[in-house]
Amino acid sequence: MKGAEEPKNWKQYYNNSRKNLAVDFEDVVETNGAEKESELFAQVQTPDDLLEAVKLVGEIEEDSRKYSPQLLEDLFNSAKADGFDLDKLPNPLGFRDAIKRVLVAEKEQKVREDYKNNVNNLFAKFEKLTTADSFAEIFKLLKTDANQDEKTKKANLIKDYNELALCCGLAGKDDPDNGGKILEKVQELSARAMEMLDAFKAEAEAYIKKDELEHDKKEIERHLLQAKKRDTLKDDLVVAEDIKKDLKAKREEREKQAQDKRKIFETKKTELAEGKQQKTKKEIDSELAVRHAEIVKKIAEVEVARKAYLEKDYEKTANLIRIKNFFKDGFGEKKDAAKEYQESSEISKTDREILAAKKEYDDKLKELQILVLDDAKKQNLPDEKLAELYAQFKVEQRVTLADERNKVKVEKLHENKFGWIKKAANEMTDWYQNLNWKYKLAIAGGLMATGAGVAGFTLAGVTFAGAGAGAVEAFTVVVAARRALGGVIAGVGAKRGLEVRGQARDQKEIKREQQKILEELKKIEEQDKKYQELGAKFDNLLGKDGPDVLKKIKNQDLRQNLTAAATGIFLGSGVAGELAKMGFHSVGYYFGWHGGVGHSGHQGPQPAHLEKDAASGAKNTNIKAPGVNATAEKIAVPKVEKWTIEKGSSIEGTLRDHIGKAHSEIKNLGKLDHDLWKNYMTEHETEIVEKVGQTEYAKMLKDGMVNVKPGTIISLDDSDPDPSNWKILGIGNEGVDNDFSHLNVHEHAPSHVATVAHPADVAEVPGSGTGHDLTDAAAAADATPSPNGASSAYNIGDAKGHLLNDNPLGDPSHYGHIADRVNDSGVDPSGLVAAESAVDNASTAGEVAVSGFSHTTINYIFENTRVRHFLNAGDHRRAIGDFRREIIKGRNPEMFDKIRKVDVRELMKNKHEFFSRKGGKMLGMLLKSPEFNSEKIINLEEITKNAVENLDEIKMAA
Amino acid sequence: MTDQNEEITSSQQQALSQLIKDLGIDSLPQDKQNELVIKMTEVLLKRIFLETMEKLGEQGREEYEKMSEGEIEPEQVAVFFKEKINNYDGLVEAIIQDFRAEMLDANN
Repeated sequence: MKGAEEPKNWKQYYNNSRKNLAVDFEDVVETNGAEKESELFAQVQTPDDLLEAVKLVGEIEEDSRKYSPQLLEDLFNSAKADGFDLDKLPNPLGFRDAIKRVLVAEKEQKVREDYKNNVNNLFAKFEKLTTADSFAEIFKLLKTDANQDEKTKKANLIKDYNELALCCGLAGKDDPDNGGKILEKVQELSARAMEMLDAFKAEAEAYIKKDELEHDKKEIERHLLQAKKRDTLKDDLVVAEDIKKDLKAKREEREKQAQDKRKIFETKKTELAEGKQQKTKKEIDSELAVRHAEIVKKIAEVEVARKAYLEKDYEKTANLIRIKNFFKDGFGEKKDAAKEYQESSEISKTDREILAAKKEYDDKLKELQILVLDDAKKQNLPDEKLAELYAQFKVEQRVTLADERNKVKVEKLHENKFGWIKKAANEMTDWYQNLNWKYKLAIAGGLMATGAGVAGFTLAGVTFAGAGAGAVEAFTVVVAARRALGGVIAGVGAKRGLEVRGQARDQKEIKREQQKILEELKKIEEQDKKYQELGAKFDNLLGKDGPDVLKKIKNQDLRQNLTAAATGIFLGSGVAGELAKMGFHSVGYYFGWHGGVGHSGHQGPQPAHLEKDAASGAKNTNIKAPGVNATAEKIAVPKVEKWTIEKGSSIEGTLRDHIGKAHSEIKNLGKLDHDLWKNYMTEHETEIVEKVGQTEYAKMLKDGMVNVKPGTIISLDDSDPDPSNWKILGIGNEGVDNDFSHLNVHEHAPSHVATVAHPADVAEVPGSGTGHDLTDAAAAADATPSPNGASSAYNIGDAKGHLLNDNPLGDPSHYGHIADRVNDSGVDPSGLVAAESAVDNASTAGEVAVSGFSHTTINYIFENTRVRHFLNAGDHRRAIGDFRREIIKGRNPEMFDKIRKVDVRELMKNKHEFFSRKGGKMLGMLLKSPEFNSEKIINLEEITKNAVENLDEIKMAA
Repeated sequence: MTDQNEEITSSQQQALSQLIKDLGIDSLPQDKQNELVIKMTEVLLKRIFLETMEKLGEQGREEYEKMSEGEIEPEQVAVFFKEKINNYDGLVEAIIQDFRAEMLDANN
């Protein structure tokens, strides 16, 4: 990952990377090319430099010709050979120029060295001349008996003079730094030196060949001359010194220049080397830039596809749910939020358009995933890192999708009127983000790690129980988890309320207290002794100043945050127990929850308990501190539930209603209720037989038809997490157990009687005396083995016969019974549908006459059935099926009774307005929805139109 | 972050570890695991809140807004939700299960 700042997400990483690489790439364009290589060749001074440069530059390509380092080196070696025409050399990047410069410099250097040596020799001889003895003295010495060594030394002087003559000619020793000429001063010195030597020679000859007098005369002249020469030479020595200094200065200057050039060469060499590295890197980076640009582009595509998918999902789901609700509302069905949520979830998973949009998103995501992994591979990530990246990528994308789904919902649902919801949602996020990591993970554990249903929560239940709630049953934990959520959301509202309240408080004083506690909290947290010290702090506050102090800081951020935190934590998560056992249990009171967080009735702080609990709680995870009790008492489901059988209900119906409300997770309530009843019957056989006799008992056990008085209380022990272990403890009232008897289905049940399997208050049908005959048929059907072997399957043929012949709609409880039997059998779901079909069949004209059912009512049902058929083709089958089932099963006897008694007129009158008002709206919505083809839309229009017309008729008739 | 989870109870840690394993992110560094789980929870909490608001209906939302502007205790809000939303507990649980399935699906 590149850049000093760690990217926070994929998008940011690739965006940063793309931008950084783009900048680098521009640098490459500016500095790349042969410029640096040419510069390096231009700074070459020596053969070694040249060879080094050749290697560094590497292969050169110029005019479609390639020059390898070896070829260039060979060319250079050839150029050094005498007679090689340098102009024949190629000159890539100034290579030939460099060779010429090197070779010329080599020759010039040699000449310079020769010249310097000659001049230095000249000066050396000059010095000797200026100090030389006369020849006469030398020869005199040679004639004496002087020491042989002295004689030899003097004789060598003559030899030296001869040599001097050779070196002072300076033939061919031109000064390279003076345009190839010898300096004038040097020439003069040389001339004088030659003259001096000539004089010495003459002296020597004269001494040897002339007589003494003549010799003396000449010698005097010679000495005069010599003296004169010597004076001149002395002056010349000064000149020579100047020349030597000048030469030295020039040499130093040349050396300095050479050093400077060397430095430049080294600099250029480094630059070239770095350029080479940079070039290599940037060749790679440019590939990276291309890849990352592609990824950034793909991320944008994914975002677009995701938004399109989520918007489509929201719109379609919302529309379809509205349609469902339309019909549900129309028929008075009570909404179930969980069911509605599951339905919308189901729509998301099955709707073709939504699935198509999702596929588009999934495809884009897959493409992005491939690009990202490919990029990672090219960056040589090891396999295990790739695996991590893969996992992380997928999960992150899921979280992002979920997060974006929330945003779409906020945008679509609350963008105008309820803008505060967005703010509140963000407050909730802020609240969570600002929690200590421990709370965050605890809440995550409480929510996310609990798995599906009761079984999953049971796992988490170990956590919660172990955390201090004692032997909290798994079922309790389910409730606890729910309560935690309620508390979390409530926390947002609470905080908002607190903010309002806080405005009226004494800010200064509060702030001081707040700051003090905040500092201490910080310190405590740093020392990792949070719970103990915080608990002690609260104790101290309570003991010293009492609740007034707490009130002062009640509405501050600290309080608000901790309130929010504690709301979530105390209302069900395992942290509640942890905090409580550490002496944190007074927090509820501290926050102003005088009833404790779980409104357990725990009234305020109890310092004595605090100390005790804090001291022992750390070791004893089962300790029941007040705060824990508060939570546990609030969230625990009572061991024994007592429910009253209402008029019109039944034993199983009562069980079903109450259990259904408390345990929406239980799917097959019918079976559970029936099992509970059968188990109860079996377990209490002796008592019941004593009360009603063996025959009655057998009948009740067989068909479940039981007379029971409204107001009778059912006691149920549902404390076990496994519903199959629940049991009915008693059925009775006022100390009378088992206050029921078998219902003789051939007789009219008394109006005060409730039943196990069908409702009490079984009213007679007006104009019919045969309202219960269907029960007979159903009971008979129970005894008839079904094709698949189920003993209690409903016989549709018999049922239809009864429907047609015995005023089937006269007694809705019969349908409830039929449905119960079908449902309880668990083997004949088609039976229920068949029962519905029977009702549908009854709506034909002929059957209407037989059934005695009003034409209007039949029309109503008929239209309802048509609508259902239409909706069966879509995603609404289950919802409408449920609705139908509700009616048939007698769960909504009031509705059914209205239909039966033609009270439906009033109902329809109201519904007419409903239809008029909402029908058009719904149709408009449907017309916009691509899911409905034109044919279906027309059908629905007709259906709605017919329904409205029928209602008009009803209205008119009324 | 390495020693963070040491401070959570062992059973909580166990539950979280299982979740992390289910999510297929157990090979990631500890802090990254925590970061993902915390982010998920944040999104989940927000979803629960939004669904709650949605299910309250327009009138319910107005009532809630008024309620939250005045003095109110969390318990009152919880009661309010349960009164206004039929089977509120079931709704919350359905959201959690749905969300969890959504997240675990990432591992498929």
